[in-house]
Amino acid sequence: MKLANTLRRCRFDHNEISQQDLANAVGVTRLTIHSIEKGKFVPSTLLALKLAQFFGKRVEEIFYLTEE
Amino acid sequence: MLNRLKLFNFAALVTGIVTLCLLAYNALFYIKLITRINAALPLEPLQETANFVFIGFFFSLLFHIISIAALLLQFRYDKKITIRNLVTVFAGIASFICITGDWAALSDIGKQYPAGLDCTMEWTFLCLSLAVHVVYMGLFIPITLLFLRELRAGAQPANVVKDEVIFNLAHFIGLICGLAGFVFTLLLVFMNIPAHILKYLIPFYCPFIIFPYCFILFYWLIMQRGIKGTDWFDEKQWLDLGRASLLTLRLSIPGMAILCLVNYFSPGAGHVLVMFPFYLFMILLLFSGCTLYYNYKS
Repeated sequence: MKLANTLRRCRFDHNEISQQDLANAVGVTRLTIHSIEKGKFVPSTLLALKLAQFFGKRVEEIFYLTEE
Repeated sequence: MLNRLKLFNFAALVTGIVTLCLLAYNALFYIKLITRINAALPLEPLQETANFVFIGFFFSLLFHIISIAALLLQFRYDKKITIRNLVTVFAGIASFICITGDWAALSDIGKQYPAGLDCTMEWTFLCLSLAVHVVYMGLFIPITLLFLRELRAGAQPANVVKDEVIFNLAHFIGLICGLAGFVFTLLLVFMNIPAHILKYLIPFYCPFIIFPYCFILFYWLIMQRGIKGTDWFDEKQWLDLGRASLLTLRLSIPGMAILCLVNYFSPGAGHVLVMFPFYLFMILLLFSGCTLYYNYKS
């Protein structure tokens, strides 16, 4: 099992907000957002909640489990 | 911030142009010196000129410190690392390290030539070092001029809450300082330098090579003042640092074991003295390299 996400889609729906602007909004670096989007880095619960809050969605709408 | 940025860049440009003139002077001095050496003439008439060259080294040191500070401020303003800027920083560090080599090589020529010894290695180093200085000047001056022009045109600083530029730059500088120090220490081991020379060399080259890394670390610490320790890095950076630390620990053990074996099989060769520089530069090289690897690849 692996954690996947719809972060890229969320950014697109949110007026194509840049990775840098999203990173600024949740207080991380741009590289962190990039790594989450690519599925290379699993964010903490706190960061996942912050991202969900920013997009006005529930955490499981952005992050979900998938088969390897 | 903007005033400091302009001040540092302007000061770096002025000292850079003076240093460029001093480099031209050095090149002329080297030509005079080699002409006298080839003609087997005494070097005493060049003593006064040589003193001026040594004064030039101090000025060059000052320029390098100001220019590296100016480059750091440029990075902080732009909030991005470009290949061109990174190459300039690398060239700056190499050029900075070469200053001490210039000094040593010129002193050696002054001692070895009257004693009838060969100075080919010192000459080769001086020529290569001059080329490194010129390359750095050639990169730094246009970049700074371009940057000042962009500032005048009203370029605004990038809006970044959590800065990753200084974090990555510190590790790039750590990588280059670690590599330079590690290679130099290995050379000392393999060249079987006697202990009495090592005692003189180690306190001199270690602080000099590590200076650029300490400089950016100090700068970074100043930037972090007033910020809680746990907020110095974001969660991915903490993870990368942790993974890099673990890998550094694992890799440093075989590295130190190899040095221990060298000491064991050649006792009295003075290798014990290089234990600390070897460890210091190996750790710096591994830790910076691993952190960058994890930061960009994961």
